[in-house]
Amino acid sequence: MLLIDCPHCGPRDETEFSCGGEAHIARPLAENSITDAEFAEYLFWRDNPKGVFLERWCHDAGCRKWFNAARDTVSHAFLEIYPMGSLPKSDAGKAAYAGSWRRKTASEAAAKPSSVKGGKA
Amino acid sequence: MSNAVHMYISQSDKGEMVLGAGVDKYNSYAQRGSFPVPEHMIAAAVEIFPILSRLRMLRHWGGIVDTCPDASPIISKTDVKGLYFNCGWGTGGFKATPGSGHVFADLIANDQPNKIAAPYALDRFQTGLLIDEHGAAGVAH
Repeated sequence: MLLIDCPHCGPRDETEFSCGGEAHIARPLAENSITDAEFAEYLFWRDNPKGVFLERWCHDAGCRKWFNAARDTVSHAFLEIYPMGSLPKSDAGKAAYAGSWRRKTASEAAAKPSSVKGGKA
Repeated sequence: MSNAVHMYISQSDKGEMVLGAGVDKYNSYAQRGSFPVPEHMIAAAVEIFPILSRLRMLRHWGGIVDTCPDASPIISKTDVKGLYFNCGWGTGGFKATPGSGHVFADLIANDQPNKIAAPYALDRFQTGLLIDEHGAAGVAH
């Protein structure tokens, strides 16, 4: 049984949580500027690394708040827990974020507000 | 197999009860079981068959459940010539093995999918023509 340290409630059993899958998937704003295949990378493609994985978690049975986590998918160790809407600060978390294939996708580039005409989302 | 609670059960020829179970809620390469999944399954099993509470657990095991967003497999040519995928069978693979082997052999022999295999191509995630089989496993979710 994993013990997960909710930022609001403290360490709780894994059965109190739901896992929201891969974190830091930005929705393309200029979605008509990318192809269907590139949009599919946002909508369906998900990473599945053997090692450090950045995920979203929700404390369903407790505070029901979301947080981000850097978790090792082999040992299940939580290397870092950081707030929703922010980026990881640990070395392992930063490396996982920078090294992810998603940083190079067209759908992520299209998620920047500057990618939309007029610069507004 | 129960549609009401999350467990399915069969008795082996030796008399042992074989029960299943479910998936971890998160990606894992750990190659070991977890406690919550059997615990949840046993609670369901004992609810339907209280006599099972007297049994001892002899062994437990876990495996990989590779699942696509629509819970259907991928049977597909790829961009690489001579490379074909037949994967993503998740919870449906054991029973579908003969059929999938048949259409996969057909795909490789002809370098084109037949009518049955064609909808399972990898590009369905671009076209949006998903095949929702989340209910196919039968057990309650």
